[in-house]
Amino acid sequence: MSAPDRDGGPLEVRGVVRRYGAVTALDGVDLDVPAGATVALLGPSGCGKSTLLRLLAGLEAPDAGRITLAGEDLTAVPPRRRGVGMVFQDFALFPHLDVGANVAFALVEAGWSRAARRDRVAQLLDRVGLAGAERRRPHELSGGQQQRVALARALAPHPRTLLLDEPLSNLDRALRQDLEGELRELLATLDVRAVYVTHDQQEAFALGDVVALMRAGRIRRVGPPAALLDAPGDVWTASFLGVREVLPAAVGRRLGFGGPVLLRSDALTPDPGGRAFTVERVAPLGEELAFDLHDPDADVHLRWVGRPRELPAAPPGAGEVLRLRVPDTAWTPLEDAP
Amino acid sequence: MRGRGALHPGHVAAVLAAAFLAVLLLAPLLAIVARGVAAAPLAALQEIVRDPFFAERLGRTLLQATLSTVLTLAVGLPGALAFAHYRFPGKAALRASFTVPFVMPTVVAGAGFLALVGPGAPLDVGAMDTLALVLAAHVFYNHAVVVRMVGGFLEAAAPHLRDAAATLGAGPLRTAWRVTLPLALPAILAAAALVFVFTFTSFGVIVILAPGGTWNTLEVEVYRSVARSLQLDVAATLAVVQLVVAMAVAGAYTALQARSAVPLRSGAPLPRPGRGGVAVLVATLAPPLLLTLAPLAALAWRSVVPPGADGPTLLGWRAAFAPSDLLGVASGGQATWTSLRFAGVSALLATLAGGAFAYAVVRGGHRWLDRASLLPLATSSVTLGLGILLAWPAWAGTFAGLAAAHALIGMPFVARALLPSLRGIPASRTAAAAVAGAGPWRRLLRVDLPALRPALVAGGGFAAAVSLGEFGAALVLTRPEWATLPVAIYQRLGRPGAENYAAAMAMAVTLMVATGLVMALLDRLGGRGEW
Repeated sequence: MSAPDRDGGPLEVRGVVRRYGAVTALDGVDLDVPAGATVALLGPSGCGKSTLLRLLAGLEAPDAGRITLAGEDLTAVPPRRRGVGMVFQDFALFPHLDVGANVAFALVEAGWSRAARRDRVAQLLDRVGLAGAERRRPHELSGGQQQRVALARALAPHPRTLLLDEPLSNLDRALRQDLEGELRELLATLDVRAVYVTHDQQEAFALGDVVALMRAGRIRRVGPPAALLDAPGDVWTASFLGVREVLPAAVGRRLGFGGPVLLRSDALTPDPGGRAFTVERVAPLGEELAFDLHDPDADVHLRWVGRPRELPAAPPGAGEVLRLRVPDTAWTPLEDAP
Repeated sequence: MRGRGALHPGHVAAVLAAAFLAVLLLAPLLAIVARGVAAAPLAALQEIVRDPFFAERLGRTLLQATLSTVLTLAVGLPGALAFAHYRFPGKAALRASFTVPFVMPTVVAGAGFLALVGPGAPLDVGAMDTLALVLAAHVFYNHAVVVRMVGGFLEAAAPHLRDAAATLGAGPLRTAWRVTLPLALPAILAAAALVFVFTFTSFGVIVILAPGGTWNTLEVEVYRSVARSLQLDVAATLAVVQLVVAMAVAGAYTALQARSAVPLRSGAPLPRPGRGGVAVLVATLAPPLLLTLAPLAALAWRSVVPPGADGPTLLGWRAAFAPSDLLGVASGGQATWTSLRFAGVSALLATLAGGAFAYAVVRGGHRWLDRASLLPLATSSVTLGLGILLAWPAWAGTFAGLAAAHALIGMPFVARALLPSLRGIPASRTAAAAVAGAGPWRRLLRVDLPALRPALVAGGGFAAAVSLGEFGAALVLTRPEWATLPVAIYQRLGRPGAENYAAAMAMAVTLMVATGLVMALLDRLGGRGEW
């Protein structure tokens, strides 16, 4: 365990570059992880997010750039002295050790007494809902239980930073949602600095105080989830986040914008005096109806979802007209960066 | 998915595999046991065991095999750990070169050491007939077993676990102690068991490097009893004792192998070594590399510069490949042709048999055949030859007899190459083919076989290489006109004169190149087995 004053500072990544032969996995990354905060690194596979995590852990060294924690340069510090705890995508539990010995692994290295280890292990297993599982073997556990053990093992020595590498991606959907909730609660109460790598947007937005969006070895945008959704900034980000409706540059120019533009279809409201859209298709979506619409004037296709009772009359069918008001706030210009 | 009542290929394969094993392994072994026990009822057996000559043979064989195993581990383990830890340029080539001695025929290994330290050799320090020389040769061709089995296991299973240990506060040494070694223990013990069986039943190395007889293994004594004096009773009794020890250790091996054969997975990429890592790599890998290359280089050199020659001469090569006018000495050309024919036929048979084993295990659900397929590995070749001689006397001296023996010895290599590939075919693919209307036989033809082609070629090639180098069974079962290359080399080494010596070296180089070519081809095809 380290002194509290060092724990208080931010983890800073500055200009970090990592190459594998001709491939540049990280191309000048800057990132701040404040104490107590959870940063979600979100991006498609191959964007470099797992590499960045391995650099933070010290499992690999950057080709250029620095990693500091509260001003202390960590770049050349080996993983065992960084005070990190890491949860691996494939759990990486030691198959030759039982659950208790897995959780206590770091405590042995840190020289804890037998009694202190036993107490800490019991406390952590209780915390992750596996009280009394000390003597079980990893292969006897379900995937979710293995992931809980991996989390307990990473937290055991009170790490300054918790690194999570797609911890839920090997689990099935229902379990993933349960564990996501548990993780969120845990991260909030532990007051540990955490970096959470995922390719799942929902997970990133649920767990991250800040979401850092990565693409092709660079951090594209950083911000709180709501801010990212409100102002995705460029076409790629908006598309990756699934924000509707991204209109390409040609359409944007036709509508009088400088380039591509975001049309928030959820800002559109039924209005008898509004713009006329031709309904191409209607499909039920739970209690709501999804309309595939076409604006013949601007030649814009978009999908609008609404409750039938919000509509002034009976819902229009295919080929009929739906009138919607398009407020100015529905439009957000986007950068045309590739 | 199994058609009710229909003849499922998995069951047909099981019947074929069982029949193969029964005829070629079980019947010969039972024939030996029957002969050995019949020859020596309990009282007589006790007498044999009390015979100081016999006790000495058993004791020395055990001592030699134990020392060989310990030394092989000592040389192989650091290399295996270094292999599993780092990625570095030339690693694949180095791995391949470490496998060379393992697939090199024992006769080539023996001839190589003879060329290096034998009479008139550059390092002639009077090592002939010493235990040290036997041990060196055993380490030479067995340390690859350790590097492959232990290194391969760790490389596949351990990188992500080492990462985990590093983030949990363990340095490299602590990680090796707390994670890597405990993980590898089953693989280490399995490798040790295999090395013990190989060296306990060692034959070619002993008869070439320790012809004085001090370090004769039971296997050599079995051969001497058969060949020199046709004392089949004594041979059978000796073989039974040897079988009991070898089978017990082999049983341990198969049990351990099952534990250490984890499904191969690609973990995180291995790190490149730092400055300290390079030092570790050089320190651990250079000695075995030297041990691997020196005898083979000496062999090639001595084939053109025989002892007493003033300079390079092709005398040996000419003598080796000229038509032989000596009785009981095959010409090199003849022997090469014979070896290639045996290799081709036995590899084909081994591929069919190994395929039947793998298919019966994976598709037929006959799990017991998985371990049974390893049994031929534990059966030494002279003993097998003796067994075939006793069980099927009509095969003695025929082409079929030796081809069958070689097929049996090669079969495990095919089965072990096929098993992971067959297991790797996703169940959904089989199901998709079944839904599309393909019955089990059609699935075998249209789904499994195409996916198995690389493994089939790799396993068959391995079996061919093994047949090329097989010595003991060939010596027992062949007539002079069927002499294979290893037998012809041994014939030449037994004759006096520099010309015969150089001819033996020339043929050993031929055998080395032939085996090397087969293995290089396999490495290119990238077959990887479950060991």
